Amino acid sequence: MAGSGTWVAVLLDGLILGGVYALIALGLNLQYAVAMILNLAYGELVMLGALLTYTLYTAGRLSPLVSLLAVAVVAGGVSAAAYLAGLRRVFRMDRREAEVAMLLLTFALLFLLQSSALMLWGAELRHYTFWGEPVFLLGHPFSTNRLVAAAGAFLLSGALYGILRWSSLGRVLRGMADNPRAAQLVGVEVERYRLVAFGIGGMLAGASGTLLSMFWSFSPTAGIDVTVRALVVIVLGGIGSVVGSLTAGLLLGVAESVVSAVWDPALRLTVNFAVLTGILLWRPRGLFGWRT
Amino acid sequence: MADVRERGESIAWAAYFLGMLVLLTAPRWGSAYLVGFCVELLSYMALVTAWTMFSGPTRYFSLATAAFFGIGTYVTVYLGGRIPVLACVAVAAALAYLVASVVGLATLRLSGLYFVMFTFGLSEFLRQFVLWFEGRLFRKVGRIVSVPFSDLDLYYALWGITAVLLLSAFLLRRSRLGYALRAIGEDELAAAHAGVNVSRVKIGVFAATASAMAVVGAILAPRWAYVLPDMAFDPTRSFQVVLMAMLGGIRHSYGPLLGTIPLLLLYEWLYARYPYPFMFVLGLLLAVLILYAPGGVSGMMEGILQRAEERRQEAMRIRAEELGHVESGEG
Repeated sequence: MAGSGTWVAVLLDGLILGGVYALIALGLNLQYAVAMILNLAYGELVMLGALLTYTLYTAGRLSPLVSLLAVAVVAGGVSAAAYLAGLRRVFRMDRREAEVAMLLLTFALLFLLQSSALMLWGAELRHYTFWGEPVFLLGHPFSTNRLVAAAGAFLLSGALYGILRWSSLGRVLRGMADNPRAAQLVGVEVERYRLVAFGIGGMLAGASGTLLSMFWSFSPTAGIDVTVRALVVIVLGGIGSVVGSLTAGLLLGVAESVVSAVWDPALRLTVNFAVLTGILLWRPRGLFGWRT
Repeated sequence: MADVRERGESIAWAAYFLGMLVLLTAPRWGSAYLVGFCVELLSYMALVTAWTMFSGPTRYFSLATAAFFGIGTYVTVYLGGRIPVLACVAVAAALAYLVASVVGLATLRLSGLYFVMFTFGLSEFLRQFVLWFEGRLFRKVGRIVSVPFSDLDLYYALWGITAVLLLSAFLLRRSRLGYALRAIGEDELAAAHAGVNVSRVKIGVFAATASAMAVVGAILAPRWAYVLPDMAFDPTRSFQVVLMAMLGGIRHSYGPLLGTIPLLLLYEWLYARYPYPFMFVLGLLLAVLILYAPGGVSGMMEGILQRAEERRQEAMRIRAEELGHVESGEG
């Protein structure tokens, strides 16, 4: 239905979208692999980031690129507070209880954050225009904000990869993801680094909210949608794998972009669910296997 | 202490069956408002009971109640004018059974995490899918519901499915299937070694309870004047069911229903006036329950009864000792 030139545009669009998905999934993956908390409220933090950026931009004329850091700190702070107030207690329960309790606690957190956002911002869709001028890439016009968002996502993902790969903090976090008990045996303060990992994951959620807000319309109730996408990326790419999340995020972005171009943008989540069901039935350990 | 537990269970179940008899007669003497409340009560009783039958003993927590309820709602919305409502109910049950079986096949053979994850996304996915479907095929967002089904018929149909569910839950406790489910909840590997076909039991019971949820949705559909996907697949419905069950306590077969009435009353009073603060309070309540009272109200009640029983026996022992002393002193 489309010429070869349009296909290039669709592909590039998918890669841009996929870059942001990858970043969103990375934060959730970090929280799960290291802090061992599968955070169903993750998308609410992304939304919170987007809404904060919106308010700072419309009321304070603050550029999203400037507010990115502040928003990340707020989202990280909210995550750390949630961890300290409740989530850390889960690790003292017995294993069978803990898994369910952890999921339900983040489910409760979802409703806490969503209702707070609804009280503060109301239910309507928000949107702002920032750097809307088109830039030409391989002869196709893309709005500047999309490219900036994608560049930001790749930079942040790269930074996270670098930290995990080469810094001493990264070594500790990777060690905990591989084997928490062994990490404890060699003297890692597991409790403290769980908090660190959960907080960094929250910061990434806030930052990706800022990036998403530059080209999306959003409301406080859109968080579940974001969480579902991130979960699909994690299952597809494998738990605890940075490269897996990046690849899976990009793949999903392209798949969604192709489906939007060929059929209908409203079918995006359907693509996600089809992929998720297929993966779980066919290769439940993800395309790239299990890291730990 | 087993008898304390059993006595509590018998009393609670007897009260529920009596309560059902009262609910059966409600349309004869109750005001329109009261009957409306009873419809809400019956529907949540049915949903909570269905949810607990699978998620209680196995501890695979389903967050997809809204998804199956919504499937039922839309079956009646689409077919209601064309075929009898009871036929809609059958279609809804079959469709939900099919969807739940696929979900079960994809996730229930893996760790519980995948199941929760998948059920978490399911209602959002179906909401968006129906939204697309309606927009694309019918150029519509919502639909006016006009199904020939009187309020009284609706009430009795709802009462019927709730009664069937309560009876099944009551019988399930002491059945082979009930023991199999509890064994799966304790230790799946051990259950498999004891000869339980783990996957089949899990998928079968999950699908059966999912069709019950769809039946509730299908029966309730004629009550709505106008249906939107956002209403039929409202994720707060899944949240409410989990919260009711946790409030009542899922360690006892009678627990979850105990949480239904107080939360429903609270909902009735507060939701219309302060929807967002109400949701906030519910979120807080769920967190507090998980952290500080994982056994819910029934767990706390049993704790109190047990302590009373222990104190009584301790007192009897001391008294017996004293008597013994007196006797030996005299002798």
